[in-house]
Formats: sequence, C-alpha cells, structure tokens
Amino acid sequence: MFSDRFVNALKATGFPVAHFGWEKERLPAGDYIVFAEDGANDFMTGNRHAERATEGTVDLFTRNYAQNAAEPVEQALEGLTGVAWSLNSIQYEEDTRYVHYEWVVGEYGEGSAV
Amino acid sequence: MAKGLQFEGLSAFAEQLKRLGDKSTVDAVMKPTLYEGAGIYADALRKAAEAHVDTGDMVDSITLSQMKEGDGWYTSLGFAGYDSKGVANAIKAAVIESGTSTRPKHPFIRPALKAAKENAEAAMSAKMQEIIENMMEV
Repeated sequence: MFSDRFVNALKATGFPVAHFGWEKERLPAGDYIVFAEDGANDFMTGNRHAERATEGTVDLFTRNYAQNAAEPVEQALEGLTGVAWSLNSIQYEEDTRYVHYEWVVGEYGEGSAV
Repeated sequence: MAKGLQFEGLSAFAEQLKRLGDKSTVDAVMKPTLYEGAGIYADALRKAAEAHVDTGDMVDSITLSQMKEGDGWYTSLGFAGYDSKGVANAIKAAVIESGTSTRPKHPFIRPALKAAKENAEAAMSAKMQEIIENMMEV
C-alpha cells in the first residue's frame, strides 16, 4: 500500500481524495483524486527481500483544465522522497466534461509501509 | 554446434565483429531477436486481455505492427480496429486500463507487460546468441 505520507501529500493538494474509488453517493460534484495500488516492484538481492516498492496510479478528474489543476498534484508527488512518477495519459470525457489525468507512481523504500 | 561465442585470436575476433558490423548482418540478428521478445509481450497482453472479454474482439485485435527501421529496429504492440459494436478496440482497452469518472480502472496492460519483461529479455538474449552462433559456424 502507499504510505500515509503519500496519501497525506495528495490530501494536501486540497482535492477530495479516495482510495480505489468513490461510493456513488459520496462522489464529489467537482474535481477529485483517486489513487490505487496495482502491483509491486520489490527489490530482491542475495536471495532475500531487500526493499519494498509499491506501484499504482493517481488519477485527477478536473473540469478546471485551464487553471492547470494538475500542477498541485505533480508538486505533491515531486515533493515526496522515494517516489517516482510519470504522467501516463490525459483524456477528455465528452459526456462528463472531465479532464482525466493519470500518473503512474512508484513508492520505494521506507515510505512504502504495508 | 558451438557452445557460446568462440573466438580464436584477435584477427579472428576482428573479422567476426566486422561481419556483425555489416548492416545486413546486424539486421539479420536484430529483426528475429526483436520478434522473439515482441511475441512474448503479445502473448502476455493477450492472456491479460482475456480477463476482460465482452465480445472477444479486443483480444483478437491485439497485433504487432510490421517491423520498421528508425533509430534501430522497432515494432509496436497494440489494439487494432473496431469491435462488432463499432467501438475502437484501442479506446476500449484504454478505458479498462485507466478507468473514467464513471467506471473503475482495471489495469491489465502495464502489469502484463511488466511481468513479461524478464522472460522477453531472456528470450531475446537466447535468440540473439543462437543467431550469432549460427553465423559463426558458416
């Protein structure tokens, strides 16, 4: 799992944050973040487990594309030591008018406490 | 059959490198090697996509592009065409992989390719070794 430090950094952006998804009745009307783990990239050496690494995604759904809503999310990720990230895609949803940013994220080392 | 690369003296080594340095020879090594690895990635992606079968068209649409030469040889793996409902298979795959504001994500492409990486690299290395050994025997 991503660490509390990681989740708190996302929450500090000011966007509502959910893990894996929102319950339908709690889905924010405005912009929001969803993060999810989808795998590990642990480091093995000398036939033993040496380092834990969690991989997953952070998704921002925003209707404020012109206000560069993605910037605080990238700043939050950038400010976390032991976190590697890359913007994977930006997609526009015609039916909801959301712009969907997806970052692929890896959290390595002590920050990644399961 | 020779086991591994065998060189006899520097002049023979230089001659063998020269043979490998010739573009047509390099191409003859690189193209089958690349296909070997790409095939493993394609199989892994197909297997992962089978967990998301609706019409089955998306799985069937997984294709490797024709090999092209740019800065080295390359090919690409993707979802081609449209399903029987008229939806682009690539869009369908992207929606499953990344989700939308109304649909949860189910990543299957990135995890499948990542899991296949080690096998693909090993297979490519073995294929390259095999081709070079065969060349050296001629």
